[in-house]
Amino acid sequence: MKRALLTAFVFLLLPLSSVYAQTVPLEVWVIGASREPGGRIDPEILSLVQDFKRDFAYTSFELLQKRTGQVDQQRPFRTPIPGGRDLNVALVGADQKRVELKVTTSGVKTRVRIHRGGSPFVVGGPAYRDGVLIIAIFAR
Amino acid sequence: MTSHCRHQRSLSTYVDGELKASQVRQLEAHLTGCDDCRLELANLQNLQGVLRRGLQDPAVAAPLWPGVRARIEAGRPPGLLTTWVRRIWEAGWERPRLSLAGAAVMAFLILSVPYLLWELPVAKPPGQLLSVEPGQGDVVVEAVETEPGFRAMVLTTSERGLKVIWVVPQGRI
Ligand SMILES: [Zn+2]
Repeated sequence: MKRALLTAFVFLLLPLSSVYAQTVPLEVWVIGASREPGGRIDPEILSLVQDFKRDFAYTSFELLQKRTGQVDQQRPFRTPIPGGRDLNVALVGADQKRVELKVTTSGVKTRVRIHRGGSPFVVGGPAYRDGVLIIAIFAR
Repeated sequence: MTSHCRHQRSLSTYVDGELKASQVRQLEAHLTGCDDCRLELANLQNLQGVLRRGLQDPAVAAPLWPGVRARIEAGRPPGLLTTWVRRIWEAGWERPRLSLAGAAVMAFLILSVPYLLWELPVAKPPGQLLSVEPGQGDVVVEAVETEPGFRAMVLTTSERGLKVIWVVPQGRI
């Protein structure tokens, strides 16, 4: 009985923890947004930026940096971003479809769940040149 | 469910002024004898004040187009907002419970960290607001914590419903 309970307990915990925990490939886009007249948008980020263009008062979006890397439960993914800051992404848990991440960058620490191969998680607002940075994090 | 838990659940509805008169009487009677609920109520009222003021804060509203801002102000049901923020609160970084220590952590967060957190269903008609609740969609924001001197808000973009955490240094602009 005790063993059955223990087994059940372990299986309940599995989906979010170590057995499925694995290396998760990440992709990080760092975009510089500004109100430059003329509104230039890098073609590579056009589809992502459509949304921002509509809701945010910026007209120009430039892909400043594109980084790929990976994260597992022992090793966070860390990369410097423009403006002398760091982006740190730690893996909390993962299964085949979703990942849970702790994302830390200038001024904010957040925990999010995203779909692998799905929409990115986005952090925006840090000042950069005449505008701001928008950071999009994809899990693959 | 104990009566205490039941009352605690109705606190945000109470703050939003949406409880029936009989429920209000019951809750207020419970509040006279329950420290936990009184603290939770104070937190919620404080939070709601911060959120209301936030809408008028140029630093927070600046990144949004004026049309989007206007639609937010016109169409945002405060009840949903409070519920949502409360969930984030409860899901907090260290999952503080309403134990004495947890209450202290929450009070500290609310009172001493410049902290603004809200869900802005950007440019969506009110009828669609429910679709932006956490737990649905691709990206779920479970917790947000700002460093001192920063404010953060959680936005949902109008077209693809992307979750965006927008961070602004306090006092900018
Ligand atoms: Zn109570």
